[in-house]
Formats: sequence, structure tokens, C-alpha cells
Amino acid sequence: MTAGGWIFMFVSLGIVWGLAVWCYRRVFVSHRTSGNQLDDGS
Amino acid sequence: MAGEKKLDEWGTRFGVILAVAGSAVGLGNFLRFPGQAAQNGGGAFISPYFCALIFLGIPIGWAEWTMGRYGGRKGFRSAPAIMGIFGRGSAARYVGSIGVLIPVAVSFYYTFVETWCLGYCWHFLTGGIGVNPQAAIAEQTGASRAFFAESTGFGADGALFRLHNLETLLFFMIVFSINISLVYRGISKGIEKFCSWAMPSMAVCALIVLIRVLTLGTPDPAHPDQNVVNGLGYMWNPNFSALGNFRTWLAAAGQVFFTLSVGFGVIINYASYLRKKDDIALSGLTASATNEVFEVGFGGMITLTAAFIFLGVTGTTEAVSTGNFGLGFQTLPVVFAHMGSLGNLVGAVWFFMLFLAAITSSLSMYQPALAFSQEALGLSRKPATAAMAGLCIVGSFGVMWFSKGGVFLDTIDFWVGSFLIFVMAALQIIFFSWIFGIERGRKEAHNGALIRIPDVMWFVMRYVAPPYLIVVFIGFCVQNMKSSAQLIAASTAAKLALGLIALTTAALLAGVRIGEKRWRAAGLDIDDKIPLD
Repeated sequence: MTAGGWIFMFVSLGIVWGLAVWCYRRVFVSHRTSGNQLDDGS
Repeated sequence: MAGEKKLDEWGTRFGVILAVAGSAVGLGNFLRFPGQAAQNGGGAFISPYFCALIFLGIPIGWAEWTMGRYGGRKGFRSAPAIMGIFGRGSAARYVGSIGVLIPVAVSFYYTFVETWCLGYCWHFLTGGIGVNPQAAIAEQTGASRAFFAESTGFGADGALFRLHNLETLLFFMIVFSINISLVYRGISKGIEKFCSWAMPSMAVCALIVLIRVLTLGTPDPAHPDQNVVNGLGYMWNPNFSALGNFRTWLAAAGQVFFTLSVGFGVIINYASYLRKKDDIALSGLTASATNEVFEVGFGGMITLTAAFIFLGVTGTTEAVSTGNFGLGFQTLPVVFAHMGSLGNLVGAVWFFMLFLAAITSSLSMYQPALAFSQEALGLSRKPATAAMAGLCIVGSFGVMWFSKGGVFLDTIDFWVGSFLIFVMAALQIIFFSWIFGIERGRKEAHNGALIRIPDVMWFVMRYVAPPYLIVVFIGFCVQNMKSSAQLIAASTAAKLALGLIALTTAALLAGVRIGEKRWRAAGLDIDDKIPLD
């Protein structure tokens, strides 16, 4: 494994895991503040 | 009636996200992505891949979510009706039938492939598929290929219907029944409930296999170079010269496109069950991010690393060249056989994970057809499910009967599962950004949004994604059309597959005609003459 390989691997994993964690944190925050239930139309 | 309405609603925000992510995560995440990366620059492949994700996949995905929810607010669930609203007219409704044709026709073969996953899982749980790790490597791969040919019927047409070889058919009936019963239960009680446990279970399975692969070390002292680090290197070492090749950019865009399920007709249908104030901006991004974790985080780390450790450079390169099915169903079983006492268990976990990935995708393929038959023909849930199941079982039996060499399957995959997806996505993004209007689209997408979609993304949707998509589509056609046309000319199975696609298309177009008359008679605003706020 070359240095370039390590860099590409860790940067890629960082991006995808980072994005997923950021997204799910936002979803959890909204879940805590407004509930996981979707809008009931009222 | 109220109960039936309740069946057609999402229950929770997580439920929608996991269902859409489940639709996107499929066999391609674990088998196609690593193969494409290894053949197109290794780690360097990631650069065009992320470009396509940002400029193609995510923006078109957001457009599709927005279209679906807006169409749902107008009272429609199916792609033809929703495309009619965004394209404003009958022509758009008729071409919108592609959004039902794609999931239905892909389900014809996808459920069959799902059957293999369940069958392989069962065999690994009950002692393996007959690969002897002590034998010469050629003998091992020969045994694996023979098992594959027998369980898929790739050896001869009709092979799966012979009395001594009915196992695959039995597994198919189990898989098909599970799919139909879950879809019949409805959006929240069937699809959402199933995906809510299947997606986390899939992540646990992927984690188990990943840990096992990353802790293999150097299992064969006679080949010290075949170790985990070099296995990761096979996948991730960058070859920057590949970036100068148009094929690499084409492969990356194609991979992003297929992996996210955009242009498939599924997101538009799933999003139609959302309400005005339900978020789509964060949900769409979260579903895409989940898919990327499975693709890059698991698929990019497991498949080729495992193959390399036991087969080395030559064996892994050969495995990649055999395509997704060769890598997943012929090579990896050999790799599991080499994993010692835990090999069969790891194999069972791997194929169970593939089965979950496949079933969460196939569920999303049946739902658009069910919604269309209810909406266009005015059928209640039971007869609509029966009509959809009848059509799908005929298609799947066609794929299973004409199984020799997988030509029938490949023909549907190419023309519907690849070619038409480009067409549908191009139509969607053009209708959304140029006919419906990007400003209206922006306003609609931000109704109830939990995040703000960056301004630059609206520019991308209008000016970057359509030409990007068209260039990739032309490149795809140049690369594949000739060989596909030759295959059709030479093969009866390919011609029959096209015939099946044509018949399905004709049935859907007739459905659109009937539906259009019914919707007009009911006074529905099918051409979006009265825009919603």
C-alpha cells in the first residue's frame, strides 16, 4: 500500500462517514425537538 | 378506506430515510463499486466519483424527492402522473411510464439474483458449496463455477425447471412471497417496518465481515505479499494516469448514478407519500450518505481485500474481469472456503447481508407498479397487488427459463436497468429545472426543510447536471451500443427479452391512457394548471 493509497482511503472514508454522522446527528436533533413522527397535515 | 389510506403513509422520518437508503443499497455497493474502482485508477477513481456525486447524484436526487412530494400533494403516487404534472401534458405522462417500467422490469431479474443470495446463505449455513481449500486453485474455482452454473441455470435454458434441480425455484418462491406480502402490507406496516430492522442488520453483518477481513493478517506464510495491507492497496493505490481517460469519468458517473437509485422511478414514488411539511432536503442527503457508507466504507474495504489475500494480484484481477456476478458468486465463495473454521459462517453472514441489500431494493421496485395500478386502473389494494404480482412473476419466470449464459437477464439489465435510467433521469432534471422552474422547485424543496440546500446546487441542477448527464449518456451509448446491438442480432434470448420489455411497455402505456381519462373525469389537476404554494 503506497502513501497515496493510505491518503485516498482515509480521506474517502472520512468524507463518507463524516457526511453520514453529520446527517444523522441533524436528524436526531430534529427528532428530539420535534419528534420522529412525520407531519400529520394539521 | 381510511385504513387503506393509512397503509400508504410513512410513519417516521427514520423510516423514510432507511427505506430510500435500502432501495439504493444493493449488490452493486459491494460488488460493482470495488470492481469499477480497481479497473479505473484505484484510489484515484474516487475523485471523479465524488465529482459525479456532488454534480449529478445528489442534485438529481433532491429534484426527484421534490417532484415526488409535490406530486403526492396533488394526490398522485406514480411516475406517469407526477411526470405529467412537471412536464405539463400528456406526452410527459406517457414518457413518465418509464418510471414504472424500470422498477418493474428490473425486478424481473433482481428477485432472481436475490434468490441466489438466499440460496448461497443457506448452503454456507449447512456446510458450504463444495469447495475444497486443499485442492489446486483451478479445481476450487471450477467447483465454485459449477455450483454457480447449477444454482443460476446459466448452463442451459430451462435448467432450473428440471425435477432434480428445483431448489432455486423453491428459494425464488420464498423470496417472491416475502416481497409481495411486505408490499401488500403497505408503506408503513410493510416496507418501512422491514427496512427499519433490515438496514441496521445489514450494517451489523457488513461490520462483522469487515472486521474478519481486516484481521486476516497474512494467512498463507508461503505468500507473505498476500496480506491485508496489500489487499487494501490493490483497491486504493491511486493510478493518476487513469484520470486523463474519459472512460474513468464515465465509469465513475455511471456508478454514482446507478448506486443512488436516481432516475429509477423509486424515489419519486416513495417521496409522494410525504406531506407538505415533511423534510426532504436532509432526508434525501441522509439517504445518499447512508448509501455511500455501504459503498465506500464497506464495499471498498471488504470485497477486493478479501479476494487479494487469498488469490493474489492475478486471481483478483481475473475475478474483477468476470464482472459482478463472477466476483460475488464464484470468487468470494472460494475465499470463504480458505477462512478456516469460521469460513462458512462468514460466508453465510456475507450472503445474508447481500440478501438484505437485495430485498430492501426489490421492495422498492414492486411499490411503484402497485401504486400505478391502483392509481391508473382504480383498483383496490388486493386486485392491484395480484395484477402487479402476476406481471412480475411472468417476467421473472422468463428470466429463469431463458437462463443460459445470463443473456436474457443482461439484455433487460442493459436496456432498462442502464439505458432507460439515463433517459428517465435526464427527463426528470429537465422537467424539474426548465419546465416546472428552478425557483418554484427551490421553494417547494424548502417546505419543512431541516437544512437549507446551498444556492450553488440550484445552479448545478439547471446548468450543470443536464449537460453532464447528456455527455455521460452519449459516452455510455458509444461504449456499449454496438456490442449490445450485435448481441440482439445473434441471440434469440436477447430478442425475447426485448419482446418482454415491449409488451410490458405496451401494458403500461395502456394503463396511462386509462388513468388519464379517469383523472380528467375526476377533475384532478393533472397538468398543474393551479400551482400549489
